Amino acid sequence: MNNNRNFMCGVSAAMVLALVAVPFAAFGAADDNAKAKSPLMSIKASPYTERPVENAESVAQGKAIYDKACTYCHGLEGKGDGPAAVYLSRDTAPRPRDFTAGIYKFRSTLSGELPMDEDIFHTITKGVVGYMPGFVGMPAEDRWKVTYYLKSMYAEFKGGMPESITVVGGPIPGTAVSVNKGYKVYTKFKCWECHGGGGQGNGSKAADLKDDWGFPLPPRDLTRLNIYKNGSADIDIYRSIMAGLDGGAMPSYADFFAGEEENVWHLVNYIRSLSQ
Amino acid sequence: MCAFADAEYEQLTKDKNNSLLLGKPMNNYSISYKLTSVLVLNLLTMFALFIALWVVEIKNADAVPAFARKYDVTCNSCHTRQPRLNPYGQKFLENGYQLPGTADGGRKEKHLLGGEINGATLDDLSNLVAFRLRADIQQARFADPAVTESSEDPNIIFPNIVNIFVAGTLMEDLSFFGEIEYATQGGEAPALRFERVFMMFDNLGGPQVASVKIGNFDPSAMYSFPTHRQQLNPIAPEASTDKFPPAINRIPLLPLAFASKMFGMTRGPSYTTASTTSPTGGVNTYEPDNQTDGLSILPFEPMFYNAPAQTGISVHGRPFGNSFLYQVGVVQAETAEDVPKTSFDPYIMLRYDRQSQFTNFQASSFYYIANKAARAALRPPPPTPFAGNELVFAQQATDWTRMGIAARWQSRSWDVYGTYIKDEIDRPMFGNATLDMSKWETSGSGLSIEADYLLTEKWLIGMRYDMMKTGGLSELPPGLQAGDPRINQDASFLGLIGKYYPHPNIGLYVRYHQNLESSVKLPTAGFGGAEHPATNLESMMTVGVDMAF
Repeated sequence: MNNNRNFMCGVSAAMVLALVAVPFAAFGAADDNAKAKSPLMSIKASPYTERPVENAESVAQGKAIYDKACTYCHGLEGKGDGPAAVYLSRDTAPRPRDFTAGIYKFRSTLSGELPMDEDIFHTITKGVVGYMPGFVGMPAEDRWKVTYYLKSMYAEFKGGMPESITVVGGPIPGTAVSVNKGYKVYTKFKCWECHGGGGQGNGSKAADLKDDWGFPLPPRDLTRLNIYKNGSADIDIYRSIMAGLDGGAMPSYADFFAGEEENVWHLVNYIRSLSQ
Repeated sequence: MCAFADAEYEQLTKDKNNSLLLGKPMNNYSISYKLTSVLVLNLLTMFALFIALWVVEIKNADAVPAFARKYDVTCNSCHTRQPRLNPYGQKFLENGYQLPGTADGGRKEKHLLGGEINGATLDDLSNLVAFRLRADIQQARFADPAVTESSEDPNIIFPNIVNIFVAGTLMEDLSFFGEIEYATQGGEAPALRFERVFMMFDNLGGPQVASVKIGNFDPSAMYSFPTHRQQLNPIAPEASTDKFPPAINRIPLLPLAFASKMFGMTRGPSYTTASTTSPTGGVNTYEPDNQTDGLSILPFEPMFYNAPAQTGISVHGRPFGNSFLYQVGVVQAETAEDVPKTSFDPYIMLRYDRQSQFTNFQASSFYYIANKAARAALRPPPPTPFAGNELVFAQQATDWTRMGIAARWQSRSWDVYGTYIKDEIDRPMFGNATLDMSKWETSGSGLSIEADYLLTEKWLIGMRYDMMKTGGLSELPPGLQAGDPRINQDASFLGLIGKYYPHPNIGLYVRYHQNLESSVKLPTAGFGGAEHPATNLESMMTVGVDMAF
C-alpha cells in the first residue's frame, strides 16, 4: 500500500512540475508561432519578405548553419546520406532529401520544376510531419541562409524563376454538398487506387508504390489529418494535389483540373472530411 | 544461501580453518549446464509469452515520448532504436533538448489538431511529460543454486522499472530534466525516487561554446559509451551492501567496464560503528545489524564517471567546431566517512567526431579523480588477536582514479561501440604486521564492447561482451590462507539480444547472458564449498518489454 501511495505521489509530483513548466514553455512559443503561421500564399510582412541578400557570403553562412543542424540526416554534401538517415526509415521511403538531385517534393511549382525559395524556407520552418522537425526556433535570417546554401548544391537553381501552380479561388465551406462533390472527384480520378476507398492508404496499388530511389512509399492515410507531410491546411492539400509530390508516387493533377479548379476545393473538403 | 550471506558467514567464521573475509581459494570445475525438463518448460513458456506479445497488434500507438511529440517526428529521428541515441539525438542532448544548431527554446511550428491556440494545451503538457515502462520475465541459472537466495524459477517482474520524465526548455537556452523512477528489481523493496534532476544553461558565450549542467545527472551522457540508454539494459544485482563482505546473491548484468572492479573496499567505517581506535583506521567493532546500507562497495557497482547519476556541475561545448567536444565537471564525492562531504571529484572528457557517408565515428577519453573515495577493509577470522566479528579498516582512505577510452562506429545499419576503463587505488596499510602482508592489486580494468545491427525496420539484434579484470584484495596474508589464496575473481559475460519494435516506441525483447568464466568454488574448509558469486550465475534469459510513451 505504501508503495502504491509513493508511486502516486511521484506521479503527482511529475504532473505538478509539468504544470509549472507548461506556462513558461507556452509563453516562449506563442509569439513566434504567431509570426510563423502566415500562409505561404498570402505574403505580407512576414519572415518571407524580410530576407537577407543571397550572395556568396550568405551561402557560406548557410553552410555553417547546415553543418551544425542538418548534416546528421542530409549528409555533409547534402546527398541525404547522413549517419542518422538509415534509422529514420531503413527499408521504406522517405529518406532525407538529396539536395544534389534537384528533386523536391514540397513545392508550389509545377511538377518537374524546382521549388521556389519560399517553398524551401517553408519546409525548413514547418518540417515534415513524422520525419523532420520544424526549425521555427532558428532565426528566420538563418533559415534563409540555409535555403540559399541548399540551392547552391544544384546548379539549375541559377536559372530562371520556376513556374508556380495557379491558385484559383480559395477554400469553400465544407458543406455536405461540397463534400459530396469532392467524393465524386475522388472517385473519378481513382484516388482510391492508392489511398483506398476509405482514404486509409490501403488501395489496391498501395503496396507497389515506390519513390524515385526505389524505396517502397506507402500512400498517405488520409483519415489522419495530422500526419499529412505537406501540411493539412486547405491550401496545403490544394498544393499537394496540383503540384504533386515529385520524387514520390503522387502525380500532379494541375492539367486535369485546368479550368475546373473549384473541384479541387471540393476534393479538399472531401479529404478533410475523412478525418472527421 | 550465498557464500557471502551473513548467516553463513558467521557460521564460517567459527571455523578455525576459515581464513579471512573474502578469502576463498578456488577450485576450477567445468560448467555443467543441465538442461532439465523444467528448464525446457520454462523456456518454452517464456518463448510463448514473447510470441504472444509479438503477435498482439499494437496499432496506431500515436503516443510517442515527449520530445518526439513536441517536434512531431518519429522516435527514430533521435534513436537508432529506442532507447539508444543516434548521432542526431546525441547532438540534441548536447544542445539542451533544442534542435541542433538552434536555440529554439522549445518553440515548434507543428501543432497537433486543436493546438493552435495560445496558452497551455494538452499538447503542450504532453510535450513535457513522458513515461517509460520496463517489465520482464527473468530466469537465472546458477552453478550451485543451493548457495544463493535467488531463485532459478522464472521471475515475472511487472513492472520492473517505471520512469516518469518531465523535461524540456523553459526559454531559449534554458532547459530542465527530471526523472522519477519506480524500481522493483534487485530483490529489494520497491522504491520511488528522483533519479536525475538538473537544469541546463546552453550556448553560453556563443553557439556551442559552453553549456552548463547543474544538478543530479549522469556524467557520461556525452561519452561514446554512456551509462544510460543501453540496448541491453542493466539488470540489477541481488545483493546487500550493509554487510561486509557484501552478500551477493546475483551479480548485476551491465557493462562491466563501468564497475568499481575492486574487492575489499568499503565507504568507510559506518556511522553506527563504535571505533575502538582512531576513526582514521584500526579495528572497529562489526555490528552487522547496525551497518549503514552502502557500506560495502560491490565490485560490480557502476561508479564515478559511469554512475547512473551524480550531483555536481558539468560544462561542455564545441568551441572549435563540430569535430571536438569537451566536457569538464565536478561532482560531489561519495567519500569515505572521515572525509569532509564538501569534497568534489573533478573530471574531464574529450571527444572527437568524424562524419562521412552514412557513417559517424567518434572516440572519447576521460579522466576522473575521486578523492578519498573508499577505505579498504579486512575481516580477519579468529583466533586472536581478532574475535571474528571485527572489521579492520585501512589507516587511510584511498584516492581512486579512473580513466577510460571509448569509441563508436555507426554506419548504415551497424552500431558498434566499446569502452576500456582502468581504475587505480592506493595500496592500503592496516598498521598490523600480519594484515599488512595481505596482497592488493592497485589497479583493475574493464572492457565492454557491443555491436547492434538493424536487421529490418522492426528487428534489431545485438551482442555485448563484458570483461572485468578485478583489483583490490587479491591474497590473504600468509598463514591465513587455505588452498588457492586468490580472492578477487575476474568476470566476463557474453550478452545477446533480439528486439522487435511493433512501433518505434515499443520494444519487445529476448536476451540471454552467458558467464564465460569457469565456475570456481570457495574452499570447503572455509566457506563450505560455496560458489564464488562472480561465477555462480551461469546464465540468464530474459523476455520483456521496454516502452516509452
